[in-house]
Amino acid sequence: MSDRNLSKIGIIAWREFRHTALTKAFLFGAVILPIGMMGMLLVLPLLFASQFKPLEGEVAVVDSTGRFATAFDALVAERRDRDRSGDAEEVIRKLGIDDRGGMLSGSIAAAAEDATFGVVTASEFTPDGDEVIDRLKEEARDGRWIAVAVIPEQLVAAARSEDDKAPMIDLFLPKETSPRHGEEISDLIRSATVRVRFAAAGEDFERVQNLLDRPSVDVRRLGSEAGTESGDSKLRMMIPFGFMMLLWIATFTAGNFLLTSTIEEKSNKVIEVVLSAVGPLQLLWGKILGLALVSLVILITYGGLAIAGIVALALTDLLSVSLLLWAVVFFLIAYFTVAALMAAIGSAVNELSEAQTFMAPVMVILITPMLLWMPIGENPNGTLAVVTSMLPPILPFAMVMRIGAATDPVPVWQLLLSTAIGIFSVVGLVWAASRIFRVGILMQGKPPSLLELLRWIRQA
Amino acid sequence: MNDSCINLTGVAKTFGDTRAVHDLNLQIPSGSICGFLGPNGAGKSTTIRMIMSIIRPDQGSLQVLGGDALDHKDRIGYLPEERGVYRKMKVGDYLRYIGRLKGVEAASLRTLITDSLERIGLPDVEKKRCEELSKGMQQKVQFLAAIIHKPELIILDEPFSGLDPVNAMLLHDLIRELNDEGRTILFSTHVLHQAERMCDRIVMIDQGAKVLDDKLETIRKRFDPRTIIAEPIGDPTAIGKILQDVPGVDSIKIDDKGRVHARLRDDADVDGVMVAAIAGGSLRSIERARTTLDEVFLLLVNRPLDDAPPEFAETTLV
Repeated sequence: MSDRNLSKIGIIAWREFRHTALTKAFLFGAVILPIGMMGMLLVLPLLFASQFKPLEGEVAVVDSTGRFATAFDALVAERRDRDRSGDAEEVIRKLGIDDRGGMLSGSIAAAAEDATFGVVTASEFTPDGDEVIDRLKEEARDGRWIAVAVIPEQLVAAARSEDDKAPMIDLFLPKETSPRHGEEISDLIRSATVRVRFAAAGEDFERVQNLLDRPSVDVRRLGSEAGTESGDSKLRMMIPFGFMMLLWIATFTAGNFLLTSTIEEKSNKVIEVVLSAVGPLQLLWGKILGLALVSLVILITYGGLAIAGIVALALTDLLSVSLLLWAVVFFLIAYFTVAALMAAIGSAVNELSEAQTFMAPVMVILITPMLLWMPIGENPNGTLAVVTSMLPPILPFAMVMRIGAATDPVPVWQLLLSTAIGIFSVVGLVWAASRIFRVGILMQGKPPSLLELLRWIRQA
Repeated sequence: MNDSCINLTGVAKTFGDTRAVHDLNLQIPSGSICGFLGPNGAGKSTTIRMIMSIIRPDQGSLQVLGGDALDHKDRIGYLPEERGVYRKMKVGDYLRYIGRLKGVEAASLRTLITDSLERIGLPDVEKKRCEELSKGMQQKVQFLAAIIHKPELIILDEPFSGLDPVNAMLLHDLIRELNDEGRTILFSTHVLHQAERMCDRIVMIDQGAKVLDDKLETIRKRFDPRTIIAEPIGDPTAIGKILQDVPGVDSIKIDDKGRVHARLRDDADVDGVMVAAIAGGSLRSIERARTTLDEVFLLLVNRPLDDAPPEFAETTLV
């Protein structure tokens, strides 16, 4: 192809890119909106946290044992300690986040502590008829107490008959108490009641608690080579899905633009003007390459956000440079597959509504990898995964799931074979699309049937 | 450069069962302004698309500027019958895009576009979106897009359709200017009087076959009706009788407006007959009849132009 022809492809590609990606609608819809939404996801919890007031104040407990206030205060202190380290660490470990330095759990715990408990204490009152309770309720109304709890004697008795119907604790809250604080106070009172029971029975609560504590498990995945192992992660399942969704969004958004711009050129009747300056294949390639840039912008925007998130969560061991490079290879295969299909469909029809007829079977085929997310993610080197990752046109979507999911790397020969099949199918698809494009782009009237399309491919 | 800008030999094209063009031979001399005439559905647009290599002929050979039109796209300006613009694009951007595709240097396009828009009477539209323009304005922009690269061959498919008389005249002048600059122009129309006003050569096709291809002057001579039309102030039958006896007069007819049509034999002395008519009584007017292209068409295919076959039905190439 001469330089002049190549430069014409460049001019068409630039127009397609400029009039698709450098528009307010695209920048808002495809770039600013997702970034904004991502930002909101990060900001919202902080926003909520800033609105949560820690629980603070004194709880009046009417109890006959005289042990309740001590148990309550010990419980609050314990909870605060646990929130500072234990809970956060546990959550982070379960998520599979490598936080050995404790920075993340420390900051989460600090935030949690701020958000839940301030200084909460209990003052005890001996039950002495309804007068005491009425007085305490009145004082709670005036703001002296954050709650008034009446613990029935039977509830804290060491020995209880199983036949006894357990009475309930009466808890009185001022009407301005938030539902969350109500829950927390209720929870503290119930837990403290159990501790008082233990004390009444002469048992050491901490000892029993230690005996009942279920140990944590640190799962390590063994690699095929000695010395290679990696942490297990619930997020690991999300990586292949994320990879595939990214590929889907990037290729189908751009593919859709390709479809609509081709149909627009036909329905606007500008196509013949353009074809008087360039050949149909130059036009096709210009459009495909221009929208490849659009697709790349989407991929970089969304992929960049995802990678930033992964880096922020210190999950970088789930990603590697070679994995990302392979993802780019399969992105290209996916894009050209989708672009060829969309260009062929766009050139064959006159209106977007007519395109739906052809889009339906294409979508059914290309949506298959999404349905296979779980089995491929569960067994990324299993037969189903291997077969789908070799099967055009769904192979790029299946393969990115495999390379995202595999604890053991996908064998190189499979990656190369899949790439080769992918390139071969892309060449075939683009060739067929160009034959359809050449005939279809100037065709008006009734859209062709599938058989007619095949005839165009043979005859063009 | 060859003498013929466009050279078609035995070109044929069929769509399904419809023979759009068959055995078409055509030579358009360089520097000429040629009208490509025929009723709707005659095969004009199909022929033009084949000339532009947008569609390929089923048989025959076709040379444009000495080769394939695909190799000379930048030397050809083309205004298709089915034409449009990118509705969301600004007029200036659209012309710049087409200009760049036609090989015009980006640096020279800016002033070229501004000047050209001014020339076609649209000085303030460069920054407007195409969709903001009226249909007539859009057509002028489309015309500009076809000639922005100053091509040596300009092919215009029904350039006047949809234009008001003022804009049609402006376009007419522009086309003449382009021809005066030495550019070859081929334009199709089914409105024959426009062709008559502008062309020095006429090609007429009907049902895919050429029925006429000659210089306008030659056609006029060939189809000279050799008729004198006299409009007497008094009784037309009296003048009729006088002319009947003049040597060289073949027949006399009187039309419903009272005009006397004296059909002459080939050897008749036209001036002598006119003198005899004037001497025969007072006349309101007297003239030598001229055959219009409509009448030529009627003579050639034995049916009027507007009695054309329907457009190719169903799925056809635009």
